[in-house]
Amino acid sequence: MTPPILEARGLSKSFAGMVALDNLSFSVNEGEIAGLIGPNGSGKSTVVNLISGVLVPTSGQVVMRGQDVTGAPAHQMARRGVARTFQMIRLFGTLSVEDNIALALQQKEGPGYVSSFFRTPAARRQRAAAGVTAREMLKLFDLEEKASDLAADLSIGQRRMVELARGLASEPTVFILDEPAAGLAPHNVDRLIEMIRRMRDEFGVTILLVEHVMRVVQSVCDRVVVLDYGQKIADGPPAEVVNQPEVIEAYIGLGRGKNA
Amino acid sequence: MRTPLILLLTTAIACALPAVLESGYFINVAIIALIYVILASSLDIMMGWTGKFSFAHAAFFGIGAYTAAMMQRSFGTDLWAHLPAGMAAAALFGVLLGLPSLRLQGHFLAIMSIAFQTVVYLVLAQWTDLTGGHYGLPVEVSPELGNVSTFYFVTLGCTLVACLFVWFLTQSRFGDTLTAIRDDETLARTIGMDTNVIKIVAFAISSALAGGAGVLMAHHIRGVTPNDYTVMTSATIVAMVVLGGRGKFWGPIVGALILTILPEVLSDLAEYKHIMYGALLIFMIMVMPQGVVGALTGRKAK
Ligand SMILES: Nc1ncnc2c1ncn2[C@@H]1O[C@H](COP(=O)(O)OP(=O)(O)OP(=O)(O)O)[C@@H](O)[C@H]1O
Ligand SMILES: [Mg+2]
Repeated sequence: MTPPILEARGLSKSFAGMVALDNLSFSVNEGEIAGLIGPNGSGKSTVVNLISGVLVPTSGQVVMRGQDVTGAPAHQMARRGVARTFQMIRLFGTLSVEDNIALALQQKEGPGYVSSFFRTPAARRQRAAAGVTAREMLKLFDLEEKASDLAADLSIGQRRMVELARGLASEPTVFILDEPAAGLAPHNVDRLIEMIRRMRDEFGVTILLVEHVMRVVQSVCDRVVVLDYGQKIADGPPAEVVNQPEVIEAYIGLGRGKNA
Repeated sequence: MRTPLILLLTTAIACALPAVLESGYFINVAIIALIYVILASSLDIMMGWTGKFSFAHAAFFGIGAYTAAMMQRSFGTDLWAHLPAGMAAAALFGVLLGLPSLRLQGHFLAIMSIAFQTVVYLVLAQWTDLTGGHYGLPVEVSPELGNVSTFYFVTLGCTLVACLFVWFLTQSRFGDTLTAIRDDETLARTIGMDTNVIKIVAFAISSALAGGAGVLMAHHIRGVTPNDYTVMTSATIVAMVVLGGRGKFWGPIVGALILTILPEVLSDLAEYKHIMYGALLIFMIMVMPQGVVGALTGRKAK
């Protein structure tokens, strides 16, 4: 059996003594759309930060295809094929939408700073090719006419899509989405659901989806892991998990509203 | 490629200056202005492109100048040997300041740079055996560069090369990476940029150019004294960048020219120039944070 593409083994993270994540283990298999859900403050974004190398775990391991990558810095995780989006959208605001994507997809080929400085024909071709790929990607997300706008000038919905386009353009093996439906209008949520499916089905990207909006989780996830107070309380197909008493307790019993 | 052509044209026009300005005094002012163009343009690599404020640029300027003076004292070398050595020494110290600064952001980075600037100044002023203390060291200019017009052309050539270098650098992929770091460093890392290495290299390049400017300064005024390389000098260079416009090629150039030529024109007020710079800095940050060039060209995507 091939090892899972991504594994968390006993991951813990404390912030100044406050335990945000406590001995969490789960795995994501190749080609899966795995969900990670839980109430506010349950530690979901912390998981994303630990896997993407933005934070270093207090203990435990992050394992990719059987290889221990715990503590690898973010740029190395990116080069290993982990792409991510952010709960609070992050784009390079003073760059055009196209440049935001071109920049991300150029990171794979290595720096090439010197040839780019001297504007060698190869460097120019490479730059032009990145622009073409970026525009194709934007077309896929219905944003081609925004290509030369500044990223800061787009609407929230459009900015979310640019984040997805940026991640997909870098040809990731695992794409982690941190609450991509947050702040989206209902018709944009439908579009998001469609794009998440297409990224897996047409581009073969394995997806770890952190989400609050249950409609999204239930319609795209093969499996969900449920967190509460930094601990895993359930792991299984979405239809089963939502009926488990612990999960209902975590979401409803404590009066923390469940977003439908 | 329009900008380099305009730069070449401007330089060609500037070549006529010694013929027009009959007095050597004004040629001296022009040389100082050019040296500050190099300083402001190189500081803008950090301030405008990478978004890191530094009040240590005069320290690197001074390290270049003192490298020239000390090399000449020990080996009797000339400008052409001092330029690469001064740049290398300044780059080395740039890395030295860069390393502990990697984790610092915003104000903390600025404070760290002021501390570094102060330490460099104190060493230059106090380590008398090495630096000549408050009296500094003399620098002898080789006879073929002794004429002020000749030295002007040498400085003009160096300034042209430095500005072209900054233009090609900032328009290349390296410049894109610096912009990415300025906009969002976490995101830059997350898409695969090794931002620590990039920041160190940017620091080294920026410092090296300031070191080169220092070598020119040492030869121009034929000596070095610590008081030319204080935190006031650093603040002046910062003011030039802010006045002209951060992250715009012409911004620091215009800022440097205004702030070196203006005090000469208003020479009665020269005593108060630091007060004026301070007031100007506050005014610019409040009213026109994008600088003169920024305000003229407006905001637009590439
Ligand atoms: N950098 C940090 N420093 C200190 N505390 C943090 C940090 N990041 C997260 N926390 C804390 O850790 C806990 C888990 O936060 P996390 O952001 O992972 O939750 P979440 O499940 O993503 O919540 P949400 O649904 O609101 O996004 C929270 O109590 C939060 O305040
Ligand atoms: Mg979160």
